Amino acid sequence: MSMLWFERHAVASLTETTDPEARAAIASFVDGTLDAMPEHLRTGVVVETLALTLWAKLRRADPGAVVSSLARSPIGLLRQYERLLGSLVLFAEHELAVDRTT
Amino acid sequence: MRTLDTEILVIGSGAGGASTAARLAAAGRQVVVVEEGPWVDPDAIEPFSLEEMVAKYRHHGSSAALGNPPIAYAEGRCVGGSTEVNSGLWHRLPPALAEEWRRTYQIEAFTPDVLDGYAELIEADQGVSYVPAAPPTSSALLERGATKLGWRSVEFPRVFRYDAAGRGTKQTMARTLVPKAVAAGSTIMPGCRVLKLVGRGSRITGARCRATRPDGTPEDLLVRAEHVFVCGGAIQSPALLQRSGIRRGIGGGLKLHPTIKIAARFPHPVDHDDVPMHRITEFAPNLTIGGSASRRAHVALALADSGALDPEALADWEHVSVYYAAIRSEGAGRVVAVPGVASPLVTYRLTEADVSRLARGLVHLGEALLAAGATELVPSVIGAPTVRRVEELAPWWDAVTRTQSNLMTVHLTSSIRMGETRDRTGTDSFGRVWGYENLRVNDASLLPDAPGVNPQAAIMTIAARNAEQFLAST
Amino acid sequence: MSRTVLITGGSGYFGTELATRALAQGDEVRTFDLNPPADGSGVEHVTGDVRDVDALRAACDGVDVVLHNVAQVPLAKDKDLFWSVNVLGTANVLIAARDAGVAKVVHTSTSAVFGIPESNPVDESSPCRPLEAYGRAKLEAEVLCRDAVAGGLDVSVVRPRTILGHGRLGIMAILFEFVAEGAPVYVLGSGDNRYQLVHADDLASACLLAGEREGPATYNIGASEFGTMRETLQALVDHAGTGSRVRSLPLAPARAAMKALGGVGLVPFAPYHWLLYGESLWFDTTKAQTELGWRPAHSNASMVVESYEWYLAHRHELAASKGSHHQSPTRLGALKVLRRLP
Repeated sequence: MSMLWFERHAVASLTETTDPEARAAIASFVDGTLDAMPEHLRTGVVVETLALTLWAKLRRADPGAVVSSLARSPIGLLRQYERLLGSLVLFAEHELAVDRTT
Repeated sequence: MRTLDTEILVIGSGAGGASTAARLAAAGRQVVVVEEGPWVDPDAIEPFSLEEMVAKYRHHGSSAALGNPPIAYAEGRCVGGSTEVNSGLWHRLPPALAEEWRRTYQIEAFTPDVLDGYAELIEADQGVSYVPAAPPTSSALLERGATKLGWRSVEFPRVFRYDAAGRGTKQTMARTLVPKAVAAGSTIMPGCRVLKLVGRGSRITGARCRATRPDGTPEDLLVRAEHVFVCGGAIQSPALLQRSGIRRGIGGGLKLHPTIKIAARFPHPVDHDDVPMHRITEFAPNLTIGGSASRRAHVALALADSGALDPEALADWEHVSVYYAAIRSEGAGRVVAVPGVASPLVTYRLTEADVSRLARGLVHLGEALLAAGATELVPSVIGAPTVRRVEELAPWWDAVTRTQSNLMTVHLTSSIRMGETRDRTGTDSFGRVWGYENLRVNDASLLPDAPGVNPQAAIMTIAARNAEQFLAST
Repeated sequence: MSRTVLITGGSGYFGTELATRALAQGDEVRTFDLNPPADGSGVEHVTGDVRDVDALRAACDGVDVVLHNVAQVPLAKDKDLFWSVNVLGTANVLIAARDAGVAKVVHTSTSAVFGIPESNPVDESSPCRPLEAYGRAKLEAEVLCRDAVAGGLDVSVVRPRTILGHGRLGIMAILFEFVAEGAPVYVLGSGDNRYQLVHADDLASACLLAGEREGPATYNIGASEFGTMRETLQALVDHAGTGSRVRSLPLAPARAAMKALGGVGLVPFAPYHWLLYGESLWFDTTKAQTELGWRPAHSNASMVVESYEWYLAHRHELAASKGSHHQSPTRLGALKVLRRLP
C-alpha cells in the first residue's frame, strides 16, 4: 500500500459500509488510483497530506474529521483535497455496492 | 536491447492510430502498432464502471489540467484508446468550422467535400446508426425540455451496430479497425510504452520502448522504422515529441470542452443503462447540452459536487440523471513534458468569457431540465443553491465562479495543429511534423481548435485523409 | 433597393436618432421599444420588452437588418436589470434574428468593456477588462454576439465612447447647469486625462455603415478630434462666457465621495462614472475608417458646445419631462453643495 497514514485513516473514516470485504476493496481502489495519478498531482497530494498529518497530530484530531472539515474551506487546494478523496471513496462505495442491498 | 524492424511504426491505437494502421495495412504496407495500455476484451467489462476506470483509463481516470479552476480530464489507455470508453456519439465536423480552419490555418485539401467523402466511407464501414427503437428516457427528457422551450435538439447517431433484437454494440477500435489492421498483416503490441523517438537530423530512425513480455516482465525494445506516426492523443503525442527534443509548435494551444453538470431529480425513474444521444443544439456550436453516464456512483458524485451529499438524496437515485453543458473555450492550455517524469504537466487557462459561457450553459441546462419535468436540480458548483423552480435559477449566474465550479472534460484536442501557417502549427496540412521527413502526427492533436462536438468523427476523418495522402506520396 | 431595419430601443435617445437617419437614407424602419416613439411618423412601431423572446420574434419577421440598442445604462445601477436586459435581452434578440433569417445584426456595445486600459489608444484587439457591473454585462453581451457568429449569424459590434449630441443629457445636465449659472465645473484630478466623446450622428453613421457591410466585425467608434477632459470643459466655459471656470477635485477623495454618496443615492453617479471619468480612454478608429469608410464630423469641443446650446434652449421644458435616463436631466441631489462653493 502506498497510501500514507493520514490518507489511510481518512479513507477509512469516509467509507460508510461496515462490510470488511467492501472496505478493503474501496481502500484498494483509492490506493491504486492515488498511485496511478500523474506524478506532479500525487506529489501535491502528498505535500498536503503531510501538512494535514502534522495538523491532525498537533490537534489530536481524527484524520476523517479533518478531511470532512475541508469541504467548505475557503482555500481551493484544501477543498480539492477533500473532493479528491471524498469522490474516490464515494465512487468506489457506490460501484461496489451495486449488487448489494444497503 | 531487442530490436524490431518495420516499414511503418504507429504509436497509439485509438481513433487516430487504428484508422492510420488499418488504412496503411490494407494498402499492403508493413505496420507495427505499439500501444501503452493493455488489450482488454471489449465484451468483458461493463461500460462506465469502476472496473473500466481501472482497466482502460490512464491514471484510473484521475487527472487534471492545472489552472484556475483546475479541469479534471480522462483519457483512454488501452488497445482502442478512448473509443473504448466514450459514448460513441458521431458528429461530423461542421462544414462551417472546417472552412474556418482551412482559411485560418491554410490547410490544403480540407474542403467539406473532401472531408465528407472520407466521413461517408467511415460511416458505412464502421456502422454509424440511430437507435432503432425509442430512445432511452434520459435522452427523451432532453428532447422534451428543448421542445417545450422552442429550442432545437437533435438525436445524434452513434458508432453502433444493432442486431435483429435491437441490441446495440459500440464499434470501438478494438472491435473494428485494430482487428482489421491485424488481419491485413499488422502487428499490435499492447503494453508497450514509447519512451523516446530516436533519429538523425531530419530523419527519425525509430523509437525506444519499454515493452511487456508475454510473461508480464518488462523489456527494452528498439523499433526501427522508415516512417513513424505518433497517435497518442492530444496529451501524450506532444509529450512524446517534447521528450524526443521536438518542441517547435508542439504542446501549446491545447483545447478542451469545459463541462459543468447538473444532477436532475424527476418524479419518475430514469433509465441508467445508456447515455443520452440527444443534444440541445439551440446555442451550438459554442454551447451544447447533453447527458452523461448516470450509474448510481455517477449520481452520487454529481449530487456531492455542490458541496455536501445528503445521504437521503440517494435513496431514490433511480430518479436522478446527470446532464451537462459543454462550451467551446476561448482559453487555451499547454502540455509540457517534465524530464525524468512519465506524465506531462498539463495546464489550462479559462478566459472570463469562458466562465460566463459556463454560467449561461448551467442556467440554460437548468431551464431545459425543469421544462422536461425535473423537480430538483443540483449543480456541480460548490455552495450553489438547489433549484426547484425556474425563478430560482438566477442566483446561478453569480454562483458559477472560478473557485466554486467543479469542471471536467473528456475532449482534448489541438496541442499540435496542422496547416501551412508555420508560426501557428506543428505540422503541415497532412500531419507531417515541421522539420522532419518521415515523422507524422495523426490524432486529436491535429485539430486546429476544439470542434464543439464529440471529436471522434473528426479525428477518424482527418486520420483517414492523412493516411491516404501518405500512401499517395510515399 | 430598400431594406427593412429593426431598431431595438428605437424610442430612446440614440434609437430615435438612428431611426431618423435610417428613414432619411430610404430604409423601411421598424422600432421596438417599451415606449412608443415621441414622433413616430414614417416608422412602424412594435411595443415590447427585449426580455420577451416571442415579442422579438414577431418584430423580426421580414427584417433585413437589426440594429440592437436596448441597454440598461450605467445610471440605472440595478445589477439584475443589467443582466436581464443587457445579457438575456441580447441573447433573445440574437435568437429571434437568427430564426427569422435576418441578414445582419449590429450590436451597440460600449467602451466600458475596456475598463481602464493599460495603454492608449485602444483598438479592437485591446484586451477587455471591465471594472463594474455595466461593463461586465455589456461584455457578456459581446460574448453572446461571438457565439451567435459561430452559429452562423452575421453580427457586428460597434463600441462607442461616451455619446453626446443635442438632446443627450444624463450626467451632462449637471455640467451644463453649473456652466449656465456661472458656477465652477470640476475635473477629477488634474483633468489631464485624454477623454474622447462621440456624437450621436457620427455613431448613427457607423451603425448604419456596419449594417451594410457583410461579415462579422467589431468597430471602436469615437471622435477623431478630442483632447483632455480639462481642454474639453475649457472649450465649453470659454464658449458660454458665464464666468464659469474649470477646477480640479483631488482624484482619490472625489472618487470616495462619489462612491459614498452615489451608493446611497444622494448624487446621480454610478461606479461607471467614478471609476472612469478621471481616466484616459481613447479609441484608434482606423478600422472603422478603412473598412466602413466612416468619417466622424464632430469634435469633442463642437459637441459639448452644441449640446450646451440645446440645453439652454430646452432648460425650462426639461424640468418637467420624463424620458429615459439619458434624455432626462439628472437630479442634482447633494451636488447642489458643489455649486455653492466659491
